[in-house]
Amino acid sequence: MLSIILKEYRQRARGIATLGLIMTYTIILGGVSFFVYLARYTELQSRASTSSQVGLALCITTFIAQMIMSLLLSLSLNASTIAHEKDQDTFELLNLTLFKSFEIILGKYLSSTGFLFLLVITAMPIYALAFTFGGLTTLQFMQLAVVVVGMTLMVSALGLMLSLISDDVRTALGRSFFFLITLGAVTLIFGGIMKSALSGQPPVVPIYWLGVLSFLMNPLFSAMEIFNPSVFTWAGNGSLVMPFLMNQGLLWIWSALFQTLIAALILLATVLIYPRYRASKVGGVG
Amino acid sequence: MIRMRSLFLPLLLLCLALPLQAALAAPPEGVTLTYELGYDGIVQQGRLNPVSVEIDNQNPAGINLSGELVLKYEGTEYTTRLELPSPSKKRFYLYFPCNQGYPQISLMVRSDAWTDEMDLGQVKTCNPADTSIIVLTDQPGSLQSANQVESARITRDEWQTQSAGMSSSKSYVSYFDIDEVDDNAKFFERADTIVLADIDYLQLDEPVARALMESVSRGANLIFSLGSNGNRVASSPVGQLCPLQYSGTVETAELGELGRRYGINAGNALATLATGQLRDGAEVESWAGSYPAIIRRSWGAGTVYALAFSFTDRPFRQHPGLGEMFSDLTMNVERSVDVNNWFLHPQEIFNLMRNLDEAKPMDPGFVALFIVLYVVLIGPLNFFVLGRLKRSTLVWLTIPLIIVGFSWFGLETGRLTRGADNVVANFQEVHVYPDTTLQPYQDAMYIFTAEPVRYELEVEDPSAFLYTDYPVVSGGQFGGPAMNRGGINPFITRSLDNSVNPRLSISQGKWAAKEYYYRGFRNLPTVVSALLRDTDNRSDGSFTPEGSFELDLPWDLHGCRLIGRQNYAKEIGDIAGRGSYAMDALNNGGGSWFPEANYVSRYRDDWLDEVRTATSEGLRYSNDLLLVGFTEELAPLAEFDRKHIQHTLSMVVVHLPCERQRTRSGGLRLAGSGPLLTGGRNFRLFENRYMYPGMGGYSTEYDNNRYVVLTGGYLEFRVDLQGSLSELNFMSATLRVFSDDRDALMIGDAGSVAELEGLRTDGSWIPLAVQAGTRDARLPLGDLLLPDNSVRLRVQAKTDLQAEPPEITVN
Repeated sequence: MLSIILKEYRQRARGIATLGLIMTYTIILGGVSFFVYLARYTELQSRASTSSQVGLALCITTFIAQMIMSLLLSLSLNASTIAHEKDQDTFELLNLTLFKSFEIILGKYLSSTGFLFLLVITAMPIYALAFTFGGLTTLQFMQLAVVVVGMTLMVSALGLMLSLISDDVRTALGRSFFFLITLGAVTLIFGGIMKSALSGQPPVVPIYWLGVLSFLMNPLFSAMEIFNPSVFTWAGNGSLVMPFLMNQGLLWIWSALFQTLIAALILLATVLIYPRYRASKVGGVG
Repeated sequence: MIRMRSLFLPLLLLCLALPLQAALAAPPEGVTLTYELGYDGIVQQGRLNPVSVEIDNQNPAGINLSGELVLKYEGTEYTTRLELPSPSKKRFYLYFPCNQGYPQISLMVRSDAWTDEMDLGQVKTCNPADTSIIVLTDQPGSLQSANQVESARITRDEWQTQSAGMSSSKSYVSYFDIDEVDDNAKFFERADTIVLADIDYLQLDEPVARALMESVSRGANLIFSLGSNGNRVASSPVGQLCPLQYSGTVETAELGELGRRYGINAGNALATLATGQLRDGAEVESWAGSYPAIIRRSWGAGTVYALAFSFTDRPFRQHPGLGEMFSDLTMNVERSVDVNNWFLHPQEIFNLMRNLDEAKPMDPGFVALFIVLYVVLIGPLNFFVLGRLKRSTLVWLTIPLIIVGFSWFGLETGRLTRGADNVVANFQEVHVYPDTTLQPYQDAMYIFTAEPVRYELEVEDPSAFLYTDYPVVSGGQFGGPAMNRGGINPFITRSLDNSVNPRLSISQGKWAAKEYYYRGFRNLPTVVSALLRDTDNRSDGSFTPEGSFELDLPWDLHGCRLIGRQNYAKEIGDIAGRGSYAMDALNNGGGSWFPEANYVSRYRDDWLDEVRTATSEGLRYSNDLLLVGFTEELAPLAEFDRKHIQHTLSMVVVHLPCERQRTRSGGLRLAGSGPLLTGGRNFRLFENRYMYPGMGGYSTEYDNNRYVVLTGGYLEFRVDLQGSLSELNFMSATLRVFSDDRDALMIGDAGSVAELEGLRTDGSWIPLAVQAGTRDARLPLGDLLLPDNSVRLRVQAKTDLQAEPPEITVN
């Protein structure tokens, strides 16, 4: 497994694509935070905003930009990792090696996810800049990092699985983005319904649990709670038994744990179904 | 099985807890709660409003209530400690600053035995410019004629405008028993006038007396209704405030000038008037024959009146003329322009305090450079160098190193620009008045923390009110957007105990700043006296103070400036706290100043300019001379309990009364820039409606120089004159009136829609004939020129009309 990881990293270090990816990633993050600062600078000068408000705005926008890019990159990197082997007709060669299925899957997963984490931490200096304005606590920063990690793990695992079951990179990418957009939209809808229900009538039971699931799946809700701990407080009439994860300021950790668990399950499923695809390809049976 | 058993216990506990929680929502048996919001259920915008809550605990099981009482408004929880053994009854007071027309307020009880939240429903509010008259009496309704009187008022909405301006106002009279009021001045902060009517003066104890004194020193009017109560007033703790030293009573049927002014006729009833000596500084405002009927005396920023009669006795009882009388006393325009607050606007203070170097914004050029350097180093440079060295795989080591290095660099940049020290800056403004050792103050506090910290802030002053945000009345008179507000925390519910020493527990982040604002009263041994005259001997009416003043203050003052009306300003350098100073012997120049290290002191000229702005209109009427100086010796009342660097500056504003003395020699001429509007009834500002294209609707604007006067209403003006009367009837007034609100056409024959009246020296108003077909009237100055060399005119409306102040011309 280690040799697979080393091979992947060696290839990435020599490829011009890695340089392009790192540059694009940092330029976009740096550009977004710079323009946000520029837009708020006049407010700072005219004292319409305080330094801590600007720091918080910088942090929020950096986080959103980072999350969007991490999502896209997690999917595209992982969705192409096995499908690319298929496109290059090296998948059969890989399967002829003595590596076991779980070694191949984990090796691929760890190499792409490790690279993604490296990209994630490239945003640290930008966050450090936001720190200098105040308004952002170390705890908030760490909570955001945990949310990003959880999401990256889950989306990467999903991408890897779709990469395995797809015949080529194009199909894998198409399926991945379709899945991601659908998941994002559905969780946003049900999470939004749940959020609005918190200030009115208690939601019906199915909607309630779909809302809770959406809160766990979609990192936007965790971020909302990190920046505004009382956002999911029940404010309607009567009593409502809140789930353990809400109203305690702990949604971020439950969400990350849940996403990690989902990632593990997806990986397990991928390992289990891998022999079928290995056999079908090697044997030439479609 | 084991799992089932382990689940059973928590479920059982949950089931037991649910009915328990339901029980907590209802009050325990025998416990009742009643509350009163504001004054008589009405809350005033832009002011501090009391909420009194009475809880009667007669629980048969002897349950004691222990917890807190909470008033929730705009995300802030105003709390007070609740300790009520059974059986007992207690009244609690909570205060909140209202800044909305439709406030949503709830009251909560949080105690071991009872937890409940009550929505206080729809709350009636009145406007910031309205007047609140509190009558302390056991006869509610005794001043009904003074309720809902519409008036012209020159006032300052301290949160909205920088200086005083003309506003429409309506009076609201509320009645309280003496045992219903709090013994804290916060209860009276909203009151423009406090009337002490038929109360049991034995119940008026020292704390309530102190609260009343603090309110007057802040700017409220206190009115004693004497008559046969004079003896009890004299022996009460507030007796020293009364302008009349009571010695006895007389009975008279002759109400003289007072009766004529307010249309009160004694008839068959005899009026009982208190008599006695006037205290120092007191003067008679109105006479009933040869007896003083209304006596006034300044006290701090406020005024104390003694009515020699009791307005609840005949022939005054329920007389409609009382409405006008109390309105005049409340407005008090001619003396104080009804500015009960001379403080700088806190927004302006914080605008300067935010200039703390540690909290300053970073230059965008530096931010751009930082990002560009980072991108270049982590990407092209890194890959290029390692590629040349044929060590490309080392990027996995160099990238994390660059990330860590730049993160450290970023944080160190913060440390270099923002430092590692907590910084606390205080700007205090203290007003010192003659006659009183109570000094109203406001304190703006700016706390910058270099590391995350949780701290408790306590203001060591029970009279202080700590604001979570200084109030800005939304959708103000001019419809402008609400100004940026300072704030403690925009997101998290704030809990604040303002009942005794204001106390707040709060956390603050790394390199974050928070602003605190509180007000109260200090009691320092200050003595101020002045023998100043405004000789006013120039034809342009400029301010020329002469004479001397004496100070005995606990601190020396630096960088002093004298400020008076008509843009009078004089730099007088440093002043010793104790000494006698002649105006013509005062130095010229800025004096010594504090080290630059104290950043709050860098803005001397800005602070002084703000004083000028805040007091410009007030000085025009009051004629006070302000001595503004600075000291670092006055300790702040709120302590930040962590290690910090302190920047403190106190601005002391000494109010020196200056007598207006107009020269009596030479020909008569106008002083000042024109007539001063001093009052009125049934009046509103003229409302223009402008449509802004693209905004989708009308926006209301008000014309400060034009008024709508309803039928029967009037506007009153004062014209200040100089010189002596050598000719008669050489002065004329032009009355500008308009036909109606829509076409705004000027009326050629003003006499048909309005009447011009003048006040004679005997206190009666006489009509001044407006010449037919014109808007002009000749002024019979022989009858109208008052002892203070002024002429009082008023425009009486025969129909609803628009008017401008009369234009006075010298022929």
